[in-house]
Order: sequence, then structure tokens, then C-alpha cells
Amino acid sequence: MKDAASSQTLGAFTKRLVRAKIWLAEHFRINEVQTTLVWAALVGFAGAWSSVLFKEATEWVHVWVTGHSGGYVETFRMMPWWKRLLVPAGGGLLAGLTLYFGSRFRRQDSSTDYMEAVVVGDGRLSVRVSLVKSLSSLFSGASGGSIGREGPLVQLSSLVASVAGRVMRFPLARRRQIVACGAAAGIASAYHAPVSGAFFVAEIVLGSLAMESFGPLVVASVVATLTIRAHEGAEALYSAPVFEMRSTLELAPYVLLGVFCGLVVPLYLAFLKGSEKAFAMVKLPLYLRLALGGLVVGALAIYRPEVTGNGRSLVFGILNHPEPALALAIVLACKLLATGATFGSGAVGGVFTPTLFTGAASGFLFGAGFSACFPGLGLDPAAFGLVGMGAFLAAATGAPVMAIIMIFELTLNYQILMPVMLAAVLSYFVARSLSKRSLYADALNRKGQAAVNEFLDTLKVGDLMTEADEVIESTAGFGEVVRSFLHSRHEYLHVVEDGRFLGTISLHDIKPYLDQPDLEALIIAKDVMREETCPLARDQSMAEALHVFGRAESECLPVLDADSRLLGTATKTDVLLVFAGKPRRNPG
Amino acid sequence: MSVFPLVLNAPPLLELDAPDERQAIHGTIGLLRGCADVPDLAGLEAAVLERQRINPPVLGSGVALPHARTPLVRDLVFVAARLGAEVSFGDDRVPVRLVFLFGVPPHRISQYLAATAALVRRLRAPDVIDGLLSAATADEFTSWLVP
Repeated sequence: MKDAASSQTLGAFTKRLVRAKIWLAEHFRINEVQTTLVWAALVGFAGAWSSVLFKEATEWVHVWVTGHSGGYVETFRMMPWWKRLLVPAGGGLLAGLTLYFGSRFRRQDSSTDYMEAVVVGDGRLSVRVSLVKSLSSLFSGASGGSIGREGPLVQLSSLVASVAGRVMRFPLARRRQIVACGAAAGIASAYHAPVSGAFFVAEIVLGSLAMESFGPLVVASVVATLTIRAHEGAEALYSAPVFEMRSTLELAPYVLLGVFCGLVVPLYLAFLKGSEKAFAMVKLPLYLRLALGGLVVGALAIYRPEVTGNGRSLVFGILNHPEPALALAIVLACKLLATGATFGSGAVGGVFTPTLFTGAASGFLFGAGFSACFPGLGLDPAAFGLVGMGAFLAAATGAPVMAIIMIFELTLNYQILMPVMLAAVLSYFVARSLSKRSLYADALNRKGQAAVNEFLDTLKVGDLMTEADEVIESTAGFGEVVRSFLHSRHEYLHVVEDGRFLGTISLHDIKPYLDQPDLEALIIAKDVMREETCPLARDQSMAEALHVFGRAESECLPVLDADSRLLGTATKTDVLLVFAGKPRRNPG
Repeated sequence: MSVFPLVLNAPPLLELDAPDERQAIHGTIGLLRGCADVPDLAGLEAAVLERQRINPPVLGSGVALPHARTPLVRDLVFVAARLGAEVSFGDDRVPVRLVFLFGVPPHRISQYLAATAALVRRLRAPDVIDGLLSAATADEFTSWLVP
């Protein structure tokens, strides 16, 4: 028992000080969402630097294995024929050996693919396996393999996020979200594309644009892009001449281009799938299979060095100084074979940039053919290349919004946006009507997406629950209640008695009296708590939890056992994140 | 202007003779007999005594503010009594002459806090406690609370 007489001496200055502290605590208290945004920014920054390091390492290995610096196509042009043949094969062998030895002691209880980590698992990426895959990808890419770099960039960025989530002991939903932020940062870093980075993960991986999940993705993407731009410059990755549309009628050929791309994309995806099956039929160890894939690329590079690398310089060439249509058609055919060989042999990476090239080349060839048929229209085939890139990407990835934004961000050409939008949407629907398969749906299915929804369906409140840190004993004095609020990020304190949950204290209820020390001697926690809180049970489903949150005033509810003992707390945001992170059901 | 967001539910009891804390509370609660908001007087008394057991709310200067949050009252109720002689409250045996008792329904947290804070502020004003201790009539006593 305390005599409050001493508190009479509390001066006006001290009272003002307490009021100021309360005001600061209330207005600058960092809640769960803000914390996640801060972490998203940190993940974006760290993810961008992991991308920078990977790109630098790839360049270093590239110089080491080829003896030349510069672009892949130029480098391979300078090399003798035998070296063109052996460098990709040797790189494939090294990549394969890295995978072979790196996976010999692989643990089976953690996921190794960034998509799997985001949509299936619990946001825990294996550090060792991720590094092994990234190293393997580094050898494949640096030696001229026809594969995109977005895979390892996303993998590394997601890994950084996963490690942060584990170190900070984030609850399951937030850990998954932070890994998704890492993936978005990886895409943004790879293509200097902040909006597309966020949309890529939201549309393809999470299948949701819910603000709870999309907001942090945007923050991570923007920070990653700003970081990468500070290091590599802010210019467009695929700068192209300014496209001008002189008449609305010019949209008509782009409509046809959209339909054309929609027809071609299923063939492209079938080709990639077929190349995987073809290599699977070759009964060789993994490292020899990758070496064989490299050998095919090398053999093609003897004839056309343009097949090496991810195809970025080829896209740039189509948009700015295109080759004659026939030459481009030959390069396209060879590049497709090289991509099929690299991808099909099992090389780690991505096919995003090769897909951009295929779309740009297809669009250009379509435009060249159309111009030949209607020479009087004065159409520019390069503009068709640009639109084709977007239309092809939309149908191949099954993410038209991301594709439209990506084309704008890659080229920073606003005028092209309307034709791209039209062609992308048409291409998407035409391709979908022919085949439900998409580039990443296959990857997700392969990684066990069937288990994704099952996993999320079986999630219980107990899986999301975190340790309750805002807990106070029922007999705690008013002063202790005040101090707890000043140090808390939440607007509610959970009141317990002998471990049993009794109710919650709302900051709203006691806020006007926080600076009254006399109340310390008169009031205890139990006097000012609300008993009518809606508690959660550990074994409640996400749907049930959402229903409870709908009735509750608080964003953070206690989780109780059958004896009303406080087990932890769960937030509404975490429950919503589970729903937001539930991927679309892609047909198998 | 009223100091309190509420008024006394009964005229204050002056010179309550009580040998101990329990009787002091019993006598003060007795003022609520017949009050429509307190259908279970005994239940309220038990709740107040239970709350006293945990941590008797004593302000010092001879003032105690026993209270209980209980669904046994329908609305916030407030009564006051002046003890004929000092009575020791709690294990620390704090001498008490003035008893201000609240019955608080569970949903009336804000009102209860507002009333308590206002009462404490009033009691901290100069001469108020002396005035309450020396008030000759119930009206005079009340006027010290609500100037």
C-alpha cells in the first residue's frame, strides 16, 4: 500500500514532462505495420547490396573464364571457336558440380526456392542451399549460359530477408512477408523496376494486391531500386527511341500483335517444358547434364555468339539498331535453342530476360512482316518489338499488370504504354484460352504449390501467435500501467491473474489520467480493465480468427487455452497476411 | 460548475461510528440502501471488501476511496461518510476519517476514472479536507465537495 501524499510535491514542470512523454509515446509509437515497413526498407537496402555483390562476382568470374571484360556477346565474338565451345561447357560443369556437392548434405526440412519459401514454407530459406544455388547460377551465367540473372538475385535477396526474419524472431506471417519483400527487392534490383518488383511478387507469387502485403513490397522495391540506382545509375535499362503514335488507327496492328503473342506463348512454354523433358531423358549425373547444356550453348555460339548471356544486349539492339529481319529470325531460333539447353539442363537462374528477348524479337518480326505488307503505313518494327516484349511477358508470366508496368519501367517510355496495355491484355487472354500454363505456375507447381493452400488451410491461430509481451498483473498499480503503456507499441495491455487472462486495458480509457500520480495509490490494473475482450483459441482456423477480429475493437487479441491461460497474442494484420499470401490456384 | 462528473447518491453520513475498516465500509455502503442502481447491497459490500483485501485505496491525509468494479451495480454509484474517530485501513494501518465509496459497473471505466481524478483534485485543494472534517451538516459537507 502506498501513501500518495508524497506525490503532492509533483511540480508543474514534471507534469508537463509526463504529458509530453505521453504525447510522444502516443503519436510516435511504432505499430506492427510501421515496424514491417521499416524492415521492408532494410530488406530492400540489404537485398540491393546482395544483388550488387552478385553482379560484381559474376563479372569477375566472367573475366576469369573468358579472359575478356565487357558484354557477353562482344566477349564471345573475340574468342576463338574452341573457347566459345568450351567456356559454356566448363561453366556448366562447374555449376553442376557446385549443385552436386552442395546438395549432397542437403537438409530436407527447409525450402530452397524463393517462390517456395514465400508461398509454401514458413519463410525459412536454407542459407547453405541458397548460397550453393546462387554460386551455381553464378558459374552458369558468367560462362555465357543463356539464362536470366533474376533467379539468383531474388534468391539472395530473399535469403537476406529470411535470415533477418529468423534473427528477429518474426511470427510466421511476418516472416513470410519479409521474404516476399526480399523477392520484390531482388526483382527491383535486377531490372531497376520498383513497381514491377512489387507487382511481380504480389501478382505472381502471392496472388494478391491486399494493402497489408502490397505496401511493404512497394517499400522494399523502392528502397532496393534507389540503392541500385545510386550504384549503377538511374538510366533506363532498355532505353529505346521515343515512340510516337500519330493516329488511333495505329493501335489496330498492336491488337493483332497481342493476338499473335497470345498464340505463340503457349508454344514457347511448351518448348521450355519439352527441353526439360528432353534433358531428363539423358541419364547423366547432374554436373554432366549441365555441362552438356553448356556444350550446346557453346556449339551455337560458334555460329552465333549472340546466344550467350541473358539476352539483354539483344533486346537493346532490337529497340535501337535492329538487324535485318532474317538475321534476327536466325538469332531468335538459335537463342531459343540455347535457352532451352541451359534451362532444360537444370541450370539455376531464371528465364525472365530470355523471355523479354523472345517477345521483343517476335514483336519485331511481326512488325517487319506487317510493314512489308502495308508499307504505306510507315510503321516502325522496333516499336512492335517493344510492344511485343510486354505482350509476350504478360502471357508467359500470367501477370499482365506486372508486364505492362515492367515495360514502362524498363524503357521509361510513356507513349508506348497504351499499345502495350492493349496487346498485353489480349495476349494474356488468348494464351489463357489455349493453355492455363504459365512460366511461374509451372515452377510453383513443381515446387509443390498444391501443398501451399493445404498448408495455409491448416494454419491455426497457434501458428501465428507470438509471445505476449504487453502483459500486466491484475494487482499492478496505476503507475505500472502507465509505464507499461509508455514502453509499449500497442494500445492495449493484457491483464492476467495467476497466468489466467482477465481482460485488457485500453490506452484510450486511461489516457486523460496518465499524468495523475495520485491515482497510483488508488487504482490497480483490474480496476480499469475491460472484461468483454474477444479472446482467440489456439486451435481456431484463420477464418474463425478473422470473424473474432471482426467483432473485437482491438487489433491484437489474446490467445487462451481451455483454462483461460494466456498463451500469447495474435494480430489482425498477421491473420490478413495469411489470406493475402494465399496464392492463386494455378492449374497443374 | 460541478467538480464531479457525478453526484452523491445519498446525503453524506457524518460521524459514522465504526470500530474497524470493515464496519466503516459496511456503514458507508448502507447509504445506498434502497438505491435502484444497487439491487444487491450485500454483493457490492463483498466486492468492495475483496478489493480492499488486494490493495486498500488510501489517499493519505485521512482519506480512503474504497471501490469495486462489479456487475452488481447498474450505474456508477458514489457515497461519502465521515467517521467519528480515526479507523485504521489496510495492513499498513493508515488512519482514515473520510470515506468516499464508489460502486462501478464494468463498462463505466472512463466515468469512474474521471470521477476519481476529479475527487482527488478536489481533495488536494487547500482547506478542503479540513472543511470536510469540520462540516456541521450534510449540505455543508457536500458544498466542500461541490463548491
